Amino acid sequence: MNAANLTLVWRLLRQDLRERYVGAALGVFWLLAQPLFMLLVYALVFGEILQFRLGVAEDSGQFAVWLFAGLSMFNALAEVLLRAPVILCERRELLLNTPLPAALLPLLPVGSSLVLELLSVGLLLLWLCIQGLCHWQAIVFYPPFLMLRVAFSLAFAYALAVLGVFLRDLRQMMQPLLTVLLLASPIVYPLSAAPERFHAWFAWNPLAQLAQGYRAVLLDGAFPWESFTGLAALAGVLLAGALWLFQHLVTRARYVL
Amino acid sequence: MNAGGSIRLQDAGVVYRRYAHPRDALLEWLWRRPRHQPFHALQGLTLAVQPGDSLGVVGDNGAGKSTLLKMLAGNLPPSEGICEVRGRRSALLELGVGLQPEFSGEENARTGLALRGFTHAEIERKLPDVLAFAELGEFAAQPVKTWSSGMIVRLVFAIAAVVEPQVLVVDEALSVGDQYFQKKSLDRMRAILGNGATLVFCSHNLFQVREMCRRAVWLERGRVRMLGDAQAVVDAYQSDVRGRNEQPTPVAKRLERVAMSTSPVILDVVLERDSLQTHGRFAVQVQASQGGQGVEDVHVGIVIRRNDGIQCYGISTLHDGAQMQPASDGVLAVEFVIDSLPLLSGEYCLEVWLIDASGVHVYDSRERCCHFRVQQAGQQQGIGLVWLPHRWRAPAGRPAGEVLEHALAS
Repeated sequence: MNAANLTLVWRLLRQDLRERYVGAALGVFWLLAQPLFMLLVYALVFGEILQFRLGVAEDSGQFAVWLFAGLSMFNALAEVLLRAPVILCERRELLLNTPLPAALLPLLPVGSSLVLELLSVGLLLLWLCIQGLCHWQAIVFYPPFLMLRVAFSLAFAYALAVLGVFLRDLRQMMQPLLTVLLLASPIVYPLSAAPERFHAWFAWNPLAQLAQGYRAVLLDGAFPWESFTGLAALAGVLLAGALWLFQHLVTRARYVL
Repeated sequence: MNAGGSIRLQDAGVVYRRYAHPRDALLEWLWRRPRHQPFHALQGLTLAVQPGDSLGVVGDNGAGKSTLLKMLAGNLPPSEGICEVRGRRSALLELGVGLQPEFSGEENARTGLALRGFTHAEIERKLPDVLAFAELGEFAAQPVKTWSSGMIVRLVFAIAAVVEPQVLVVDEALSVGDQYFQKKSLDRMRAILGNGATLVFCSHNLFQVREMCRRAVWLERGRVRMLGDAQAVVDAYQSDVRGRNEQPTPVAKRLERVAMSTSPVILDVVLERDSLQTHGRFAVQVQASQGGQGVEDVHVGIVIRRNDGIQCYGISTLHDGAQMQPASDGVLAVEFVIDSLPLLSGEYCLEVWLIDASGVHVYDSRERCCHFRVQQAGQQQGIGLVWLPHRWRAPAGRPAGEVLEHALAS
């Protein structure tokens, strides 16, 4: 990745974000407005109506913060899963008519997910500081988990981007898949709300581990080493596989773009 | 400024794969069993362009010109053989590709430069040059969606030209700009060439190809038909195109056309001779089927064009109040004669139109047929298109002697 390619990715990412929200009064903040709205809905339904609590003596405000930490991660990942399968087709003209390296395109959804996550995590930390609940360790412990999330995102972005060219149905399948992922992981409900016999499943679910990790570093200022190393190894394997797949299929993808 | 880059193609080819469905491309990779039909867009291309040289590309639509240019521009890797391009290249291929309609010209210029491999600092340095060359004025800050196509060409060309390429690849794009900008961009291409850069230029305007390029390649169905001096290649291509147009329709087919047709059809256009002298006799005979129309409702229009496309003269039987004459059953004929042809030296061709009595409806037409050459006889002077009747004389109202006397007296 040289300086020129970096400039190019930066320009394309800027255009990508501006293009989506051009003419909208809130502009790029729509990226944040949608997840915030969903947060409000979840907090209302699960926190207020269903009265989910993490511990015995916690109020609904703390539940909302807990919810937001997990959702920030999940929304960023969702951004990648939704956009990656269409990114090569969307930029078809550019890909076929300019010397643009195809390998740069999957970086765009990852880039916008990064913008989204930094905006929402920034907001979360700001809120925690106002409440006086901020842990200084969060500043140090959060970046490694962010990198972990980005590594997973890159793996999905490269694999889905190239497969999305061949399997045009993929883009339709992403939204239901995301709903399943959301409900199969303790993101909108606490683990304690699930019966004991399902806990083994949550221990093996990487998304659940990642969500728990995010909460540990952001809310408790702790660093869960065990799940971090496990997830890092998994992300490494997935990323290597995705890059291999991308490299082998991208020339083929040109024929059917 | 910068030395030119060089191009070397060795047995280069491009094969496109056609799949019935996009997923077939994936299944083919999984099962290792072919599921595509190959399409050879380019085959066995071997040519070299030295630094500072210029290569024109001519050929029919679908001959592989655009594929060749894409390959040379680095947008398309060759499927076989070697394609080696040394030096910074800049391409002007399809119009407006990569322009985002919602964004301003400046913003798009930045992205265009980034796509050509510039870093942020370089882009900011080059941007004023691009905008100055494009001469878009206040439109540069407006969204591209509000622009005319001519303005888009200006911006796209400015981006391609300002990067000081060592290899400049230009496809049919200049034809959209206005005359002023066309000239400006051709001048710019010449300047880039003059600085030692290498040019690959493709245009349907063969005149421009001949003007801009020293050498040319003629592509036919993905292969090199001819490679050599631009003048020779363009001439050969032109005469081939003419030959195809003049190919007489086989009699059986022609009769079929006549029988099938309920409207008049041009049957034959015969030139008396195809090599003439200025002030010589020019005659062309046109035969047409009547196609169930009345004699007074079938008219012939003839336009003489020079080979650079200039209309020299056009007239029709309708406008002259003449009539076609019945020649045989259902066939009309007429001869168009110019006793003293005023055209000067050059290559010309005819357009023949078969029109109705209103002059609006066209039954049939032949374009670029009957090529002929006019030469000026040794003593016949004059330059330009036609010989105009003229004489030289002393300035009005004063006999020559008087002028002389007057001059002497003072």
